[in-house]
Amino acid sequence: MKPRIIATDFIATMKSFFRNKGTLFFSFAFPVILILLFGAIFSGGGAGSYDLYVANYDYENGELNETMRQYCPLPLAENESNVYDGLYRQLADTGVIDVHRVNVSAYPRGMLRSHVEDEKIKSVMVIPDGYCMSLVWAMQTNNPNVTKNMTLMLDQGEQQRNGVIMSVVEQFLGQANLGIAGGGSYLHYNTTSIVQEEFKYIDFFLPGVIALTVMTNSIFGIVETNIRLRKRGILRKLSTTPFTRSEWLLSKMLYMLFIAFLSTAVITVVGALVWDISFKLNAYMFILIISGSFAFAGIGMILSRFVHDEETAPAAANAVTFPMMFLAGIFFPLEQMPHFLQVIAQYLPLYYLGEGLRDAMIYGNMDSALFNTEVVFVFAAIVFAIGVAITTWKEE
Amino acid sequence: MGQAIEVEHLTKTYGDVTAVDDISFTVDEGDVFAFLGPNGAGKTTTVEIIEMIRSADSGTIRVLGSDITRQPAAIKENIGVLPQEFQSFERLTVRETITYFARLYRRHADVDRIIDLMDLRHKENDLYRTLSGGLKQRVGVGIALVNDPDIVFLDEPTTGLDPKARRDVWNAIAGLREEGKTVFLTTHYMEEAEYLADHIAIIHRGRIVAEGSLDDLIQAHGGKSVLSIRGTKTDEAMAALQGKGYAARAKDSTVEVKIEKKDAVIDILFHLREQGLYYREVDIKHSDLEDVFLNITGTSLGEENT
Repeated sequence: MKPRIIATDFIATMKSFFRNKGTLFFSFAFPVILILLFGAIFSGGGAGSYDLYVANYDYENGELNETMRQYCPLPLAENESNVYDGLYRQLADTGVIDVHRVNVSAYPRGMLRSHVEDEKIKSVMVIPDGYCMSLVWAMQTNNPNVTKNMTLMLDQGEQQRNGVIMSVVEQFLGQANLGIAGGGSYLHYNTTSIVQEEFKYIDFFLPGVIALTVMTNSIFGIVETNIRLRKRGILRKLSTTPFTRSEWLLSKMLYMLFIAFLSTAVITVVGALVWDISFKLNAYMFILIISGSFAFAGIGMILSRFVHDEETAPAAANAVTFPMMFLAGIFFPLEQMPHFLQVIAQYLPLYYLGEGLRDAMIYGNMDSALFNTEVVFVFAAIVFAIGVAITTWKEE
Repeated sequence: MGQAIEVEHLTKTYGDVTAVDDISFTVDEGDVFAFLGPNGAGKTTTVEIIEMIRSADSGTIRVLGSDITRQPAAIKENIGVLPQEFQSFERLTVRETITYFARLYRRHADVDRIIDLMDLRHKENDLYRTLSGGLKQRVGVGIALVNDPDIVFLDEPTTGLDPKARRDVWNAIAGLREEGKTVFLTTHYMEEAEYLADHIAIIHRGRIVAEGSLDDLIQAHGGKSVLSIRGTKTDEAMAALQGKGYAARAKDSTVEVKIEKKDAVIDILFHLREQGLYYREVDIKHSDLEDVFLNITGTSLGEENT
């Protein structure tokens, strides 16, 4: 390794970069325009469906005996064998709510709140023990007040989401009450709030844009540099000089990292100025950006090894980055997407980079940040090694 | 003088195509060596193998006495290369470009000296992308000189240039000989080889078909020079010259006489005057590399290039 040569190449690359207005625009202005645009469009919160967790502590757990079938007012279909099946089904049938069950044996009532806050769960429906029996008893005694309360735990930072969930639950309970002979509000609920930091769409989106920028800069940067320098004969020329391929690669990676951190700085400053987002700077963020740059540079190297044509190369890079951009939960939270897309996302490096940056920079969720960092790091190590191994300056 | 480059039994195939077919040659130190042949003859493949851009299938190559497979790093410090169709970084100036390449070497020539040598002083702060084709090639030649190399490889340095620009690049290359550099030039322009080369190897379909100095090649393969006599009494002139043993033939109203050496011209003109035969004009067409190529391969260099 000759630092003099690497420094020479790095400086020359920087000069070329800052003299190219097109590249400058796409590296910095584009992500800024993206966040301004999407920030404005989605500042009112997103559409789609919401996750509602149900923590069912009814000790009978809705087991259906004759008494229940006879008296329980919760609507049941023929094949349903549990009084709560109808509840889950009807909530899901609204199309705006995805029902998830909290594992109540792992998280007893006393631990529920900390579990919910750890997992950043935003809405939970709590069914207390003996709920079903209390309902039957209330109906037998014609005293609606005897029914225990269901509780909705709602994140107060999510007013819109809370509104949707409350209206769905109210509608459901209203229907059920109507179905009970004699009328009266036998089913009712109260709410408590989950105290969590308030996050908005832009908080979600901005780390995603950093991840996106790291990806496109690295993949396109490596592919276009390779193709352009190969076409101009510069790679052939360099192969006749003492400049080695690894030194060249190192210089290019320094450049990629420089661009990545510069873009990150621009994006965070805009985020802080326009939306008053407070970012957490920590080691995970740096490791994630570095690993991400190496990972996507590796993909770029693999692409440019196989696609030599100047017209095809950007198309190939697009074919990789474009689907990943939409499938990796950069623009919309994955929970709002169909299940199969959520499964696909888990195989995409960009997903882990985006999630990791969110955990590290916004949510301060360090356990999850560590996990995502590990995934991106390992992926980067493998892909970059493959890229280095198959890259050559030699012509056939 | 020693040998700058020695190539023995070099072969390179691409699939079924033999691009370079068991060729051997040497380049003397201080010579301008021209590798002349039509497009696709194997010139660039050969030179790129010597430059270590490509690998050979078989054969040995020594550059400056060292085997290229054994000491590539040492050789790279001492050769300068202008690859075919080379285009440098768009957004660096001439001076920045030359400085960039100079810094890649342990030992390098003075950047200002290169700029002056290539006559680029008036353009040194212009971006490379704004230069004309000829200037770009001069920068390219300059880059090939930044490490003060013993051997300079120039692969088709004037392809695509207009005559004026080509002449400028030729002058730059001719200057290298003055500097005592060994120059390995590949070209498909015979004028380029004629103008610049001390030693010419003609390559055709992967094989060297003739080699030597310009004079040697013309002597051996050029055929005779032709004296054309116009505006004379054709039949009588023919008879007179054939009577003296010259190979004369009439073509339209011109008498063409093949001549061995220059003295013959004076002899012929003297003889015509003696016979009272006058003429309007004469001209002598010497054979050139085009004739050499045609005579050896049966095709014309110009035709093969198109």
